[in-house]
Amino acid sequence: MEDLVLRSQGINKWFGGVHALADMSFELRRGEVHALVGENGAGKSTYIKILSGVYHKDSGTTVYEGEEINFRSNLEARRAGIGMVPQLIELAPMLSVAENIYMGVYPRGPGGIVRWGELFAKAEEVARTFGMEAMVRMPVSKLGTGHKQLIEVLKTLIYDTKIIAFDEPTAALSDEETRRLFELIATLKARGISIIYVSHRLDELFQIADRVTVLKDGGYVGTRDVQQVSKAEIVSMMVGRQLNLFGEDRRKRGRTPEVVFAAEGLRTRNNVNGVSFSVRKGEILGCFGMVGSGRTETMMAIFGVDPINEGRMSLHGKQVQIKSPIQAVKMGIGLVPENRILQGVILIASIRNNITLPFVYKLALRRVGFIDMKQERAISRQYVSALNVKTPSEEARVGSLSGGNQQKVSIAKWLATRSDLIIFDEPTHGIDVGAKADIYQLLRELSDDGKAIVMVSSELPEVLNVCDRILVFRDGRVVKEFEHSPDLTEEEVVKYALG
Amino acid sequence: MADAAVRSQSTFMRVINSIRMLLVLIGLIVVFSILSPYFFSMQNLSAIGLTISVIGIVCIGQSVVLLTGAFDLSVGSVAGFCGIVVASLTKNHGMYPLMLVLGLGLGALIGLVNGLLVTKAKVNALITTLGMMTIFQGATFLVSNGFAVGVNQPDFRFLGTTRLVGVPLPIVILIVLYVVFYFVLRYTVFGRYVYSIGGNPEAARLSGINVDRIRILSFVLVGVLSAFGGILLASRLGSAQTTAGNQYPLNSIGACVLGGIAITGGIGNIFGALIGVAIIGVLRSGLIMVNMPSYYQWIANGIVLIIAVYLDTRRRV
Repeated sequence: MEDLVLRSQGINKWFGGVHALADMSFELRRGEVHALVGENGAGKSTYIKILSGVYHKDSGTTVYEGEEINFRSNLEARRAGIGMVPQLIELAPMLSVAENIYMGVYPRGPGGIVRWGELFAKAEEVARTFGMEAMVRMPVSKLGTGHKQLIEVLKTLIYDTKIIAFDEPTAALSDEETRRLFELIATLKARGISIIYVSHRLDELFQIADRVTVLKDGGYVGTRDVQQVSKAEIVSMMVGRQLNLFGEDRRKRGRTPEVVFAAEGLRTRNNVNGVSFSVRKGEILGCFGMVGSGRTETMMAIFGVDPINEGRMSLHGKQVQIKSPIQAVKMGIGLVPENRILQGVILIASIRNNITLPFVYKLALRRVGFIDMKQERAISRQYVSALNVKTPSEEARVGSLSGGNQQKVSIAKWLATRSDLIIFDEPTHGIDVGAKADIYQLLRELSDDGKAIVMVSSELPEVLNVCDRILVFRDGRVVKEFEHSPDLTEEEVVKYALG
Repeated sequence: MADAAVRSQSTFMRVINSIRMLLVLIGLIVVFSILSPYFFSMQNLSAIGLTISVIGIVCIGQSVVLLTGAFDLSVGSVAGFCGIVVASLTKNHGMYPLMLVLGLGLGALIGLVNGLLVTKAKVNALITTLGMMTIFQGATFLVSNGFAVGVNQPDFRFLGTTRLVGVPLPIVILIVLYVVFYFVLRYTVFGRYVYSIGGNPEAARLSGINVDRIRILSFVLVGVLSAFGGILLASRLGSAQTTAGNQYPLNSIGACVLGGIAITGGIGNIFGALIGVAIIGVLRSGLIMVNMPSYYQWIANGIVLIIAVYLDTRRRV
């Protein structure tokens, strides 16, 4: 008889017309690390939010330690021993670690006055588990992301916790912080706590998980022992088909020598310290480097967002100065920014409005100044179908689409604008496997069409497989250049990125 | 099946939601018509129309600014100030058409200053327009020495007192302006930029749109329209009052938001603002008809403003 700490059956959850969880089921053993995976919108986050009282299920049962549960609030769930470490950590930055750990449940004396001594003493004791006792009086703003995550864990540990759910915990962590997180999870596991681990990064599962459950479209697909499953099998369970993520290997192509864009000795105040490179017609140029290595900052300078202090740029062989995105767009440069939601798309506007935004002024009818809606609709429809955006119509709001489809809209904009040089900043960040494969395919087609493409990415597999040439950034400079080669290893590239 | 049911229900709810405020307006008219026999008379309805024509015009500008994600609290002072300036100049020098253009230019100039402060100097829109509101309240008293300016020249009174097939000209102007701006916002590039900037200013900027220019233009527009409203009011009354636009800032924002223009920008239809204005006008007239002292209007307006924003917030959850 296996020792189950939690069992959910027939869980349903609707958000308006969206069936987020459809008869979903899940079982968790005592003291196991159980990974929960699936494409974006598969229902992973929704499920753990229901468990931890953030959302409320519409139907179904969850039995926890022999009792049926249905928490009305996050605090109630924490008190019962189910904690969650959310993807976006929300702590009060100016308050101390101790105050954050005990937020909402400060020890209080008569008249509601906080007993500070007791608060700090209790916090120190909890924090001792991870050797953080010295930090309890420090303001949270002084800590790194890894430590902030620890505080979220500590918040759950002030109760007799049996389950902790992590939602994409490594998304914002450095490698070193990730290693420490895994150690922490091992410690928690040794204490008999069960872990639910939600992640996009399949490689991580093999490092820390005991079992893995796959969700698809809000429903349960299957559970496997990590020891007995391959990555390819998990991916095919997630997407319901066998997937060759990167498509065929980049074939040897006679690249034109025509340089579309070149930069020489670019410097900005913002961590760009003498960057030189060029990108040719039909080429996919990868820019790899650690966070803070100056890749994104370089792109922002080229696109006219950050002012350039020194250096020269040329487009199609002609010297240019780009002082604003307005000029950049006019010159035929497009930017698919890193943060899709804040910078890439207008969530409350239609797909059509988003796609035509950079060139809609060209669609205005001369005489009255009205936009030619017929042509606009035709153009947006064409790109919706070319990019395989999953939507009932081009009039749907972008906010109603999944992350991957939103990203396709953010890209479609520049294809429709017919930009010659398109800069992609982390184009596959936070989108599901199926959409990733679509985007790689698209990048290849664009380069075949003769576009010059610059792709900034932190994901080495995609840099190695998709790009013709790879620049490695460090400290605001290009420190190494590689040609695409099947023999090039991740270790080799990382070596230069770390210095 | 369940899917389709949910969807059809939400379509029904969408229709109800989109005409909800129209239903509220009709409901108010019915209630006041029952409470007071004089309410639903041609004379009273025409009076309501005249009252809302001025703030209605101000609301067009306010809608545009709101749609870009900002707002303008100086609308009332601009209306009052430009009304007084044009009235005094016309009274002393005549040449009304020239003075009218001058007044509108003054409104544009104030709007330009607002726009430059908000975009280039990056002063918060609340503070900028609040400051300008006070400045021009003061300036209004300064140019008039605190007295209303009565003007009887027929050309000055033309816009406010003419009737077109029995309909007062201000109401005609109001409707024409709403139709024009409906098309401008919905079908022109300027309108598209206004909605896009309100939807996500950063995405608009990175799409190559001159965000600052559109923002400044929207402030200039609200300045001109507010000035026109103030001049029209003085023309109708035959005198420019020093306190003419005092209630406009909050009432215009309240009316727009009540009519479905998102306080956060990017969403809404300008005809919604017209319905919002009509609700405020009907409420005001109705309260007078049922013999409520006039200061109840202030209380009612405050309540309407808060309810409007509450409904706006709830729509977006």
